[in-house]
Amino acid sequence: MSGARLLVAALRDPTVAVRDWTALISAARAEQLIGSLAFRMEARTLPPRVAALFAAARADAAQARTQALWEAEMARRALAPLGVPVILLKGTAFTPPIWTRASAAASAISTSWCRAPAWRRSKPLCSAPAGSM
Amino acid sequence: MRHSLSLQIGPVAFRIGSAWRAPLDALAALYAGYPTPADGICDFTVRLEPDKPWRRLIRPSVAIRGDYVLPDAAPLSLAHGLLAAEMGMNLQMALGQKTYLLLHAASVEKDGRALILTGESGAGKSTLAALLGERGWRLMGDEFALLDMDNGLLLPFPRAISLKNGAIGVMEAEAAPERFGPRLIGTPKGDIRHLRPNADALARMGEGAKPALILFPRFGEAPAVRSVGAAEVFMRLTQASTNYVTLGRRGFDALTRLIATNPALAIDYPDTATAIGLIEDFRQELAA
Repeated sequence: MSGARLLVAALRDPTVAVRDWTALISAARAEQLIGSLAFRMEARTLPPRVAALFAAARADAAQARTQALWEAEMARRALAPLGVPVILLKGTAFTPPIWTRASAAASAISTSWCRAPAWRRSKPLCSAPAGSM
Repeated sequence: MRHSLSLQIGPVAFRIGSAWRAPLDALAALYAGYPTPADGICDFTVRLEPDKPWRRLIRPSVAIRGDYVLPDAAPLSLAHGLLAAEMGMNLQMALGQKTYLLLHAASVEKDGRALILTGESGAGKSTLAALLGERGWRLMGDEFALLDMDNGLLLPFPRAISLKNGAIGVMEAEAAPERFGPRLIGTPKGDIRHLRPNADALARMGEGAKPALILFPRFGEAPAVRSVGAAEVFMRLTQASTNYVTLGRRGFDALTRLIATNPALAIDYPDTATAIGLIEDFRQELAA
């Protein structure tokens, strides 16, 4: 089975039997979906090496999220005196490391993890109605 | 991929795929005695592919690809395929390693105490680590040191040692010929020859060690030893780390604990004998 098929199958059903973890991990990294896969499989019992890789991927995603939200907050503070609505296009999702291969699928998925936390969504971080990001 | 090879190096497993057989044959010979991953799973995949499809056969050129890629990296000639595999593994670690704090440093261990040697390219860390590895120390790695952020232990990553130019002759006088890879002439970094760490380093590749001393060696200067303050050590080690920033607070906590609990010295040395002498002195002081 190709890496892409493995990845799609694993994202659709995170309990699916995986024979070739190396191929799955490689495909997930190529599509920048390793974080999504790690979260999807969080409740599952995994081989120790995979569990460690996925824990690191989740920590990495959390750190990227913190950084992206911090940048958005800095932009909000800098623009606040202007009194104009501020729109974050696709959230702050477009902050992937430049050396990894970006893909349309990854961009589409990554909008989901950049949603602001509840305490922040009530603030004028974004001009769109709350919850629509 | 047409050809494939898996290697376990310290805590990290690699799968190296190649469109050609020759680079993997060279790799298998150099890494003779290394285990394959016991669970059959690899942390990283490296792929050696033709830059363009026809480049597999016509004037073959090897593009270094894998889980993590540098988009504008120049391909290497097939004659340097072994170097491509090595660079591919380095690249995965530099861009993709998120489990351990990764320091661009050599490390050696004796009596349970690990030394971290770091510095710019040309400072001599590879050569010193290789020499110490033949003289009673355990070589843990010549390129990357892995710090376990949970317990502060340094983990071995005993890849083949990458000897460049003058260092090749120094080590040819020390180690048995069968431990060397082919001499790669005219690479982007000059001449390169790889050296397999000795049997002790391989047998203990799963065994971490407590850091005891951080050294900043500098080759080509009159002998001098200077204590380095915590702030400078911190700055230098953040520069030597490939993943310090992305690890966030865990990386900061691990690095500051490493610095707070270990002395750091900058040593200048005119020749390797002087450096080895200084390091042996430090070891005796640490043991006292």
